[in-house]
Amino acid sequence: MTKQPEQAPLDEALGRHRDELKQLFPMPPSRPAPSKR
Amino acid sequence: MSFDPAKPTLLSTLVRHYDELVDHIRRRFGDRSMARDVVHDVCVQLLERGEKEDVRTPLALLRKISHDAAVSRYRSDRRRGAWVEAISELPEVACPAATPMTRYDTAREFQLLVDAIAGLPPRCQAVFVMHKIHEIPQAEVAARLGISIKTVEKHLRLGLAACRQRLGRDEVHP
Repeated sequence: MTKQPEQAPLDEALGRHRDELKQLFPMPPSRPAPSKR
Repeated sequence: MSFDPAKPTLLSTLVRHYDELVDHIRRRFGDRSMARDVVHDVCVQLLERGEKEDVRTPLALLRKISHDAAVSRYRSDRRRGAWVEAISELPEVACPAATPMTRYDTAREFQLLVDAIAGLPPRCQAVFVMHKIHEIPQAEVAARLGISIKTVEKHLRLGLAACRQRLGRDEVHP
C-alpha cells in the first residue's frame, strides 16, 4: 500500500504509543488457512 | 600646566580639523558614522585627561590617536560580531522534558487512538492491529488471516481513516 502524504503524522502518533497499544490490543489469533485438497 | 594661547592645543586642532580627521578615518575604515564616533571619543578623552604638553605636531598626533582608537573599535566590533554569529549558529536544543501541556496532548492522543481502533469492525481491527501496531508485513497479515492483500489494504485504509478522523476531530498537536 502506498503511503499517503497525510499518513505520516498518523504513523508518528501510532509509533509514539505503539508499546501501550500493543498491551491493549494483543496480536489477534491467526485464522488457519483452509487446507487444499 | 602653562597655557600659551598662540600655540595650538590638541583640542583646538581637533575642532579646527574635525572634518579632516573624520575623513582620515573614513578613508581607512570605510564607515563615516564609525569615523565620527571615533573622533568624538578622542575629543572626550582629551577633555577628560587634559592637554599633553609640548606637542609639536598636534594634527599628526590626533591622526595617530584617532587611527589607534579606530583600530581598537574595529577589532572590538569584529570580536562582538563573531560572537553574535557563533551564538546564532548554535543549534536550538529542545528541552527533553515534556511540558505539562505536551503530556496532556499525548495522553489525549493515545485515548483517541484507542477509541478509534476499538471502534473498528472485528476483521478490520485485526488487520489494523497486526500491521499497524504489531508491525506484521501486509503479506503475512493476509496469509495469517486467510485474506487477500487487496482486502488487507482495504481494511488498513478504513482503519487509518477512522484514526485520522478521530484525531482530526480533537485537533491534537503533540
